[in-house]
Amino acid sequence: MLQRAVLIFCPLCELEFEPKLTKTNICPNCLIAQMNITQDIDNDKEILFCRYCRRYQRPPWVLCERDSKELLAICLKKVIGLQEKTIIDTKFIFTEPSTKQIKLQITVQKEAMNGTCIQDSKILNFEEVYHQCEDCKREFTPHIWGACIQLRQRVNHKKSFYYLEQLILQHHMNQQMLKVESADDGMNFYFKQKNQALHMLEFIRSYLPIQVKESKEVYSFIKYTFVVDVPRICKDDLVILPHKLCHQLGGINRIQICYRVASSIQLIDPIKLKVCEISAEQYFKHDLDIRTMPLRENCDEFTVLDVEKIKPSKNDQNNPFLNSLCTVELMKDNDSDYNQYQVKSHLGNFLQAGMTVQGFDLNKYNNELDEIYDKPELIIIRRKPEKNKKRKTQLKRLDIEENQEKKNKKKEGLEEQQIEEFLEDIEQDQHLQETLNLQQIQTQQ
Amino acid sequence: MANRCQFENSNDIGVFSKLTNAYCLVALGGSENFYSVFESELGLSMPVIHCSIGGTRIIGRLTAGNKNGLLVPNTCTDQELKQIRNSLPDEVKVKRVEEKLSALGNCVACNDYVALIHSDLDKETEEIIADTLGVEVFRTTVAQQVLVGTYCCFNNQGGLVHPLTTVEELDELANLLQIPLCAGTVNRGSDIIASGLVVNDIAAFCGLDTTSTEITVIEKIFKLQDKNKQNMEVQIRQDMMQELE
Repeated sequence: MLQRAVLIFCPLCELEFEPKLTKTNICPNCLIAQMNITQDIDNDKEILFCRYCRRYQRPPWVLCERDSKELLAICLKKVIGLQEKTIIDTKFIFTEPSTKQIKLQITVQKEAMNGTCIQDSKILNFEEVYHQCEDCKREFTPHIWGACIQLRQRVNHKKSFYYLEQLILQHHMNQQMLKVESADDGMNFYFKQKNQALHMLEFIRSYLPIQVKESKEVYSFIKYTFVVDVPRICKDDLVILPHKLCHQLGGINRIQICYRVASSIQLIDPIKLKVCEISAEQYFKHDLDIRTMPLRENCDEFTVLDVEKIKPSKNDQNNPFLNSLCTVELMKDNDSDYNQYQVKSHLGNFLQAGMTVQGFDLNKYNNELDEIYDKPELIIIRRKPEKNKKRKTQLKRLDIEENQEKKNKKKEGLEEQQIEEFLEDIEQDQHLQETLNLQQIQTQQ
Repeated sequence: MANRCQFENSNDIGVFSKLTNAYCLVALGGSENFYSVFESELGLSMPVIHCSIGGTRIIGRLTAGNKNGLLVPNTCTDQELKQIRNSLPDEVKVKRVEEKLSALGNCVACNDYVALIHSDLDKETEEIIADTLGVEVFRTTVAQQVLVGTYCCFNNQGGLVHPLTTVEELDELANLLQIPLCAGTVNRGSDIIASGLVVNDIAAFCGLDTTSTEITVIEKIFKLQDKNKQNMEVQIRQDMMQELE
């Protein structure tokens, strides 16, 4: 026998229904209409949309497709009035993209009195409002910088700048930069505010010795420019110091080899094998009198015949090259000259008989070196780097703009060669490798 | 004929009035509108008595009665009792009941032949009810509620019960009362039947909020429609059927 149900007439709409279903004596339709749970869900909301890069604001600007989960998440975040309600279902209703409207049908459930759950659906409208995102703003307004750092090093190569570039990328210092420009002798960094530029200056100061000059232009706002000079002395250079500086540093020899450039310039004497340091201030006082001879332009190659280690004396305890001092027997890599030379070097740990080394043959040069007495005949700087064709390292680069007016056409092919040389330098030097954390810059092809 | 009215802006007519086939009690202090509704409908056939019980106006819920008698709770003062006794016709017996559950209107639902009472009412009270009102007394529940006087309302022709009453209960009650019953609401979906509705064999009064659907249900079940109207309805239906054919 069928279970008969007690039916009553709904007082509002005369529909016969079972009161057990709703427990409120009103038929379900009238109950939904009365409760109206979707009333307080706001209907028209705006979403910010950047038309240049086609991204929606979340707040971080994200790229998402029209009917995707990410867009759904953005829309739902904007809607208010969803407390105490559970969302059962959502669906995008098709709209033409050109209308800039996004329609979302949302079904919500809410608990009404007496424990009944009411389910109702509503169509929400979202309007895409054009708004330029931060990145596009930066691209569109190049002249809005408030501080500029002009970094210059008066040398023929840009290896210091490649080094600095890798450091910037590694420490993520490029986030506040508006723009990076390259110039003939260096780079320009543009920032929005002076304190950001100062932060960058402190960062550079910890890795390179620098001298900073500040100037400003006053408009309704102020534009600061910092001209930063980097010393001409680079790693593996032969340095000839003026008399005054030698006296100041305690009577060291005039001829020195630069073996490292960090926050100060670190030199080693090729004869006595003693190290000394020049700070940025000291360098710039004597800038004009210091001569450098870069390795690349003047290098000669020699073959190692024999390596004999020197026992370190008590005076040498502070020397970082304590364990690698040696005397080396060399022969020039030249068919006509069979002379053997004996030279002191700090590269004891790296040299073996039969290797080729690069260095300077001081007999060749007739310049102010003639004034110097007891100068050595040969100076070894480093091992000859192998031509490694299988190199897998590709450097990550900063987004550098070329300054179109000052572009020198001769230097177009030079950049590749210089990057190659820079990579060779890194391979040779362990200290550099540690600083740069080589794993970060190697990208697999 | 079902009428709509309000007592001082409240739709709970059944709280402030009591209607039987012999008399009508109304509370003090209402507007003349309220009284005129009652008097226009009933004035010639039965007395409309203004009274209070224990100083309160909720007389509909405190008293229980039919054409044979009236029961008042122990909160009723001697003066009030005297006044009621004087105003009522002589055939109506008035008795004061000593009972813990003093809201007799909520505990007892009755017509002229049968009464349904609260399950926990005293044996003594039950006997008094049977005696004074001259009815058969049954202890039942309505829709699992013990307050039978609140959740059902009936006259000698039919009755209206709480909407959540089950089918079995409906059948059982109809059997006991020997009248047709149906479930429904008053006052726009309120399930407290007796507080929104007073009814006797010739008239019914309900709150202003009652929708026309509810009025139709009330008129049908309590058989309050005019004979003329009923005939007219039948005639219209027959005409329509002929046209369709």
